[in-house]
Amino acid sequence: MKPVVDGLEKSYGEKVEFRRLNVEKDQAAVELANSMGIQYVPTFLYVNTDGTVAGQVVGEQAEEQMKQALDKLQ
Amino acid sequence: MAQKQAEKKKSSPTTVILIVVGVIAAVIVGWNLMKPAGGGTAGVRNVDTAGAQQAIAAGARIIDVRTAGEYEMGHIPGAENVPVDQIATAAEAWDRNADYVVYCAVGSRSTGAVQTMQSMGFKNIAHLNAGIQSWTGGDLQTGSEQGKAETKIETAGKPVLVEFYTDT
Repeated sequence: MKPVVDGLEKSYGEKVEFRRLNVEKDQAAVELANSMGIQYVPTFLYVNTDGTVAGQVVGEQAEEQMKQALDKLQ
Repeated sequence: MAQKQAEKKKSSPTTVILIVVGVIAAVIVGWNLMKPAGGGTAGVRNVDTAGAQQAIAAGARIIDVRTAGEYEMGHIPGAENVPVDQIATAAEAWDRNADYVVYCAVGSRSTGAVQTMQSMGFKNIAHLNAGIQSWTGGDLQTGSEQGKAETKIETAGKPVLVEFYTDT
């Protein structure tokens, strides 16, 4: 999954911030994961500029599927 | 006649005590039998998602018996990957009295793993018998949308893709 996300960051990095949160090491990440009910890794949150969560996707995704979700972000 | 009845009454405290003890025993046995699948904290048992979460929260070791490839595509945070064909060897070194949560994709491989562990003397296994598919309720191969969360995420003037991950 990492190569796909890294590749997307190169093409979308200007428009979208890529934030990776380690739920085993980062306490703030654990707290956010708990508050969001995250129980599986990887889980992706697509967040609009106003902070609203446009989508929450669990597990591996195809690159094309991720691109479509990223394109829809406002 | 009245004397006999009085004698009978004399023996009644013992009878009452026996009945009370019997009722208490029946309630205890019945309670244990009727406990929901997810409510137990000991023994080898099948659990649903809530039961697995409860065991994990209580500190159970999480064993994912799928292949390394399946594990890499996603897993429960903190889970150790021990493919089912390696369980017998790997579990040799594990604490038989510790608590474990065991899962696979849909419950068939983990059933075999649990049976192996049970035969090796493991006492406390919460088996997520509907598999990891029941955990997320979706198709993990392609990514499944879980609905939109109410929580707002802090942003710095542009959209964000948040990835929750672990090193393993």
